[in-house]
Amino acid sequence: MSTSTLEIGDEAPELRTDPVTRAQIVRYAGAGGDFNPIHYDDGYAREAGMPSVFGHGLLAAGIVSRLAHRWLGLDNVRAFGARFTGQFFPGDVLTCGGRVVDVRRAGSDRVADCELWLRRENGDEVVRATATARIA
Amino acid sequence: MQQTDEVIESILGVDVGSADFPLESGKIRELAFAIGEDDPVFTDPEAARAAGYRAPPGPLTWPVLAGHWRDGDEMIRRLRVDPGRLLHGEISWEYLRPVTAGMKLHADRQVVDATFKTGNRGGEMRLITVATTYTDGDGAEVARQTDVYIERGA
Repeated sequence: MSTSTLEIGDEAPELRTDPVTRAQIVRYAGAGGDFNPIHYDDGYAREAGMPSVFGHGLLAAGIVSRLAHRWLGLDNVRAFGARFTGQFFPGDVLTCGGRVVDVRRAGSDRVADCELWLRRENGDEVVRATATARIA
Repeated sequence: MQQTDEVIESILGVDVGSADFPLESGKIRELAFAIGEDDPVFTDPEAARAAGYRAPPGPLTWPVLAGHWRDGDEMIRRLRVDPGRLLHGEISWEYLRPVTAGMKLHADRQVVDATFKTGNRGGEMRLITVATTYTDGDGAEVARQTDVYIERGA
């Protein structure tokens, strides 16, 4: 994966998921080891004031990380972070995108700082993320 | 919530879950499937080798796999927080060295900051920052993680 041509303003090719399913959320619960019932038990989630179960923040971060890998390349990514800004629910089709916001020197490397985001179909933000990739 | 230096001081430096753990190909595969990642480099040892890795590499969120080797409730107990009021606000990683399936890793996790803040709607919150250092079998740092947890006021 070559990041050598990255410039400020460049945008990632958008990533769109299939509709999120409860099965996927359960799969993530097992993979990530987070068995908080708010993610798989609708009764529990409603009692906690949510309309239904919702996906893990780290599942959303994982989906964004797919974009970072596809666009920037796993080996080039020096840093990746996610702020959990909103929930996502079974049935949601999520869209992920990103943009280069800065190019700078970091030690002996040149790096691109990128902003990435994950949104629901209605535009609600789920994750606001950042990634720093070596330009190589 | 007592807004005193004492409350903040009492959790700084607290170890909230150190662990030794193997980075396993099965968990990497499971994590890749769970996030919908279909690049075979993460699930197929042949594809990984063809891409120049010794074994399937960890996807970018691989450090979450350390959680299986820690007592998740230990952090709640040591921070003395009410889990019903604790939210995960953000997480970030710096990657220092590539990691691949088969490595034996170690994670050290500590509270590095705890500050009170007034939220947008006027409620009081405590932001707790936890730093984790991941090292390999030689003791070399492979990654750093920073978590910010938000404890909402009672």
